[in-house]
Amino acid sequence: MAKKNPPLSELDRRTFLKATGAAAAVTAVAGLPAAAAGQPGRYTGQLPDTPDTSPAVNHVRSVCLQCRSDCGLTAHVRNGVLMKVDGNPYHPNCREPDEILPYDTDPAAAGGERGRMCPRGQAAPEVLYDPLRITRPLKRVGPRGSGRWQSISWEQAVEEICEGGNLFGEGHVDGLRALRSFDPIDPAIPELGPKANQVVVMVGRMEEGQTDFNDRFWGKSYGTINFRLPHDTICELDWFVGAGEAGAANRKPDFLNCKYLLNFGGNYLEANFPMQTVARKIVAGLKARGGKLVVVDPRMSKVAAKADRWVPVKPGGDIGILMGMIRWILENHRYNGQFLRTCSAQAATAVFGTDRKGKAIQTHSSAAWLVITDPAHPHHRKFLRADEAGLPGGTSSEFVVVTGGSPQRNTQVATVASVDGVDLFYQGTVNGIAVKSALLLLRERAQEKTYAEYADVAGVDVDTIVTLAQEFTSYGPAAVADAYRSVVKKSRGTYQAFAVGILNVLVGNIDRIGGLSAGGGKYNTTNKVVDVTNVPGGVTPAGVGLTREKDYTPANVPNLIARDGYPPRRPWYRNKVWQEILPSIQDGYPYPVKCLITYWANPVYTIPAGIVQEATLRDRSALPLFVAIDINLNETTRFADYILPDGSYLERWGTPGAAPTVVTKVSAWRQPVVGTYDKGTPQERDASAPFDVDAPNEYIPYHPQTKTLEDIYIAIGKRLGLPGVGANAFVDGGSLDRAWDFYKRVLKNLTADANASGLSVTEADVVARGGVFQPPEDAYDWSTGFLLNRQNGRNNVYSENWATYLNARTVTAWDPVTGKPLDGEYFDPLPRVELRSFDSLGRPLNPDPLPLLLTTYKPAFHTQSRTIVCPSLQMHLPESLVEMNTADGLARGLQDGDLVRVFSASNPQGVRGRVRLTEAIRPGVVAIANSLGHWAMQSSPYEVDGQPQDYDPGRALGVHGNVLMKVDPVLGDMPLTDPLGMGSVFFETRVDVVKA
Amino acid sequence: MRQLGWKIDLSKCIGCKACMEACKFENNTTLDLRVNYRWVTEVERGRFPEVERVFVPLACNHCADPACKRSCPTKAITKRASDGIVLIDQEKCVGCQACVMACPYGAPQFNRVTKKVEKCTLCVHRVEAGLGPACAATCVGEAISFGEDFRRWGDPPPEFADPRQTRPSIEFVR
Repeated sequence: MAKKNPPLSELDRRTFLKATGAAAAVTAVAGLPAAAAGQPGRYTGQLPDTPDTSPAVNHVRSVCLQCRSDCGLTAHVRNGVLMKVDGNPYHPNCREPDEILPYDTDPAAAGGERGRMCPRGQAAPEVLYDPLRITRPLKRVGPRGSGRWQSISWEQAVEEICEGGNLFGEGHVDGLRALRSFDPIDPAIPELGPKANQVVVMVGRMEEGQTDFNDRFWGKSYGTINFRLPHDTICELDWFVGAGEAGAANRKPDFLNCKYLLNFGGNYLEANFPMQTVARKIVAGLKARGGKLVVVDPRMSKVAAKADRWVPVKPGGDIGILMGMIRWILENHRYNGQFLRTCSAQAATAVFGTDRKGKAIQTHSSAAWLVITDPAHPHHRKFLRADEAGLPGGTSSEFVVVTGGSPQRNTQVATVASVDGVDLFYQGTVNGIAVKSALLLLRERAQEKTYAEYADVAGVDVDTIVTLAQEFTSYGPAAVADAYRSVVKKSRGTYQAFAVGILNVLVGNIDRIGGLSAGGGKYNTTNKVVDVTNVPGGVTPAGVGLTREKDYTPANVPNLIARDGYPPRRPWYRNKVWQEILPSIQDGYPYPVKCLITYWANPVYTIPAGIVQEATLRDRSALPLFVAIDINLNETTRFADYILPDGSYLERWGTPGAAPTVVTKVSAWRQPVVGTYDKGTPQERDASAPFDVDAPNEYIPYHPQTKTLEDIYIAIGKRLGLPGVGANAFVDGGSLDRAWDFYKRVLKNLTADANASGLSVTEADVVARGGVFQPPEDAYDWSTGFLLNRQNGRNNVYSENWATYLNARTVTAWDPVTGKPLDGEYFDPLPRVELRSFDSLGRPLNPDPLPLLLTTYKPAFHTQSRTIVCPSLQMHLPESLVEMNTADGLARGLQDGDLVRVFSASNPQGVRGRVRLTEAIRPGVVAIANSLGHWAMQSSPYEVDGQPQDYDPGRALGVHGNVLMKVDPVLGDMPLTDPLGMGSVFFETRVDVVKA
Repeated sequence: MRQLGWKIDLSKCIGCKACMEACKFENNTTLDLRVNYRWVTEVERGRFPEVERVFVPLACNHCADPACKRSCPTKAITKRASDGIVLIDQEKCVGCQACVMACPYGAPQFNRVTKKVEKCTLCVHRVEAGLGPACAATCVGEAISFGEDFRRWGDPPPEFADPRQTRPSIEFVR
């Protein structure tokens, strides 16, 4: 069926006050069962009851998964039907500390208490009851991607996937039984590991609980090293690598007490982590308290609209502001010298003391540590060790600072006086070795460019940089610099993330009240009572992962280097790299893949230029068997050989924690809110009956022909006779026959750890309240000024880790005997201005001649690829818009609402959409909201058992920016990728816009 | 007479539309997705880089002098003496849409499925149970709150229809 863009919604044409938020383009799907379940309806002169207080309504506390923020939810369930979802009032994502429901509040009496929740989360019933959802196992009957399926039983699906055979009339396909071999893939290259590694599990959205189960099953029961390849590299991994190098990967401002927040592109009020919690802490917290908010972003995001200052930076030019600020802070001595001098845990305790829980404060910095600067020294660019320095008693695990004029082991600097004497900018020789302090190296780097040059990089004036630096250093440790994906999704974006982290180190806000928080963490769910990750008689996976998360060195892969030399055929990394999976399968590098299992994954849609990877999914010789566990036929799973539907996130268990935005400990309890249990269900039991953790709890989701992920794996494991499934599956001797056998142990672990941590909770408490939440009074230690939950570790302004990491793809000469490289480029230990794009061989790309830079963002009512199934979310933005500055539009003869074509060098045909001209974006930038413009997700016709199925063309409206993005010119099959942070590049594509 | 209504803090509205979703599921307006008892608009003003984006959450204002009520030929629209909530009785509404034309705020909306007009009830079923409206309960930025006794309208956004016409029960703060 030909699709036609509808006219702009009436919303845009009407005057402000007549606008009613409704839109014409949504193809409404059938009404929800809630309509029949007694949900309050239209007023008819009689008042309906309210689900909050009606005795007919169960309130089930679980956890949302419309995005990764894991907000607690309260499901209103009447007669087994989910009517509405709100936030969980016990969960700190959903209420601020001063309004959170105390844990001892009786859940049975808390029906009227609602936590807050973002629009995505509230659309939950539309996910559960999506009439287009896949609700029974499917097997393709035509070629891959033909859209022709047959429904099959679970027994048939499991049998065929396990046993293989001539499954599609296209020749023999190996099943999981034949593929589970522990013979080497290649006897000449044994380091690649066993053949079982040729089974690859690619994961889009899978969370704690499920991941623990998945890893024990595919890793220890089945035995593949590729037991879970998560999506992190299209998400925030490079932010974690870059900011993490400054101290800890995942940290967030203590928004509640922060006085000055400098946000480089974090889309706080629309996405971020968790959107609702951060948003509230900004507009009802920081701003209401008179705190100052500065947002650096080429687009006036919603948080920029609320900021005291919006800095519309040149896209990618944040590093100019960052380096300029670092230079100014160092030259004007506006850094927190006391913190930078605390050169060890001992020094930190001497200076900062011990908190009221009796835990020593150990938050320290390596800024004063000495770095070997002699290029001839074998440890050039590494930190000088205390034994190398010849210090009495010094070991190789101690570092060296100069205090009181002489070198000292960092661990021996343990008095306030010796900390005060530490030289932050030392330069000289120690034990005959030329050294400089890390902070001095940073200052030298920062001084390589002038303030004017930095201002030019950022597209701002020098005054802006100086003002930001002055302001940022005027609030003590209650000033925080934050960012997220925006600064890192570039081919050298990891350096920008490190620079953001360094700003925080310079003001010494780490672990401080109002400063940078590592979060509260979570309780032990995996091994407090029973180690649920342990598989008796299981396998230890071995070898090289498909995406090569090892250094390409003779020590790791001698035979492979002897065969291939340098540079390696494809890049090697230090983590699993999602955008590398399908290209590696296509290349058969480092080994061929025989079976790909995806779980809630959509690489074709979500990876920048992911559409170039589609061909691999069609290629039966490169990919003989493709099994998708999913509830949708998305842009990727539509090519699968089998679709195995699990439940929605409202029909499963899990144990998510919380983002470090929450400074107290959180272990939420995700659990089914609908569906049926054998008996004695946690949700539908008589309220007076005690919760029985040891009940069988055989669970059947809402659609009886769907299964939980765990039950799917158990069926496969039993068919194959794997260890860790069935009898004697756990170290306590228990059996694993259904999901609850795993989760009841998880629940016992969680409960036991909470009790060991000083709380007093039962399993029934956890189930009734949707988790365990450390009380808010355990957040702060006001006498020391520190958070009670701390990272409590080292913080850096210089990366020894990167200084000694060779980019193997840049090696051109090597010793054929030892396999050792003779040249090649080491990564930079310090942040630096780098505006160019790079290919996968580390070579800068020629500048792209197109005039406009493409940026994308998440709107508040969508998340990536899944939320389009919710009609009420589609309603808010029926078709995504091509947003650009009015001046850029007028220069192209465009008027607001015109149909335009956006194209790039890698996609010259481009995509067509409506243009929105706005003043709220820097000229030269084009912005497209994510999550729309699908071309699958049941948006077009397909057949099951010869019958045409319902579909929703509304899901295909709008444009998707990823299809325009830049492809690595060397490999041709994946986006540009930062070799250090491993992130795929979203923000280096130039485009132009013309009238269509 | 007691009059319930809205207190809206525009500095806290982030335009996320959580209130719309809460309303949609609370009041079951999912049969016709165009019907939204509450909605959020955005105004952009100024020229780059001196730009302002303002988000305004709106709904029926349960006016002291409701134009819809005056316009209704079947007397389907009533204003409760106890709390000033304005309601459209679906049994009496004939779908003529006179109220849609009369309301200066766009609150009454025609449902294409039921062929009748409906609008915000201020979650009267929740008010009766001692609870606030669903939109206020969920508002992510705490911009929407439930108030009583409106003698002034605060600082309405410029495009807001002259409150002297129908005396809406809403106060804007910034």
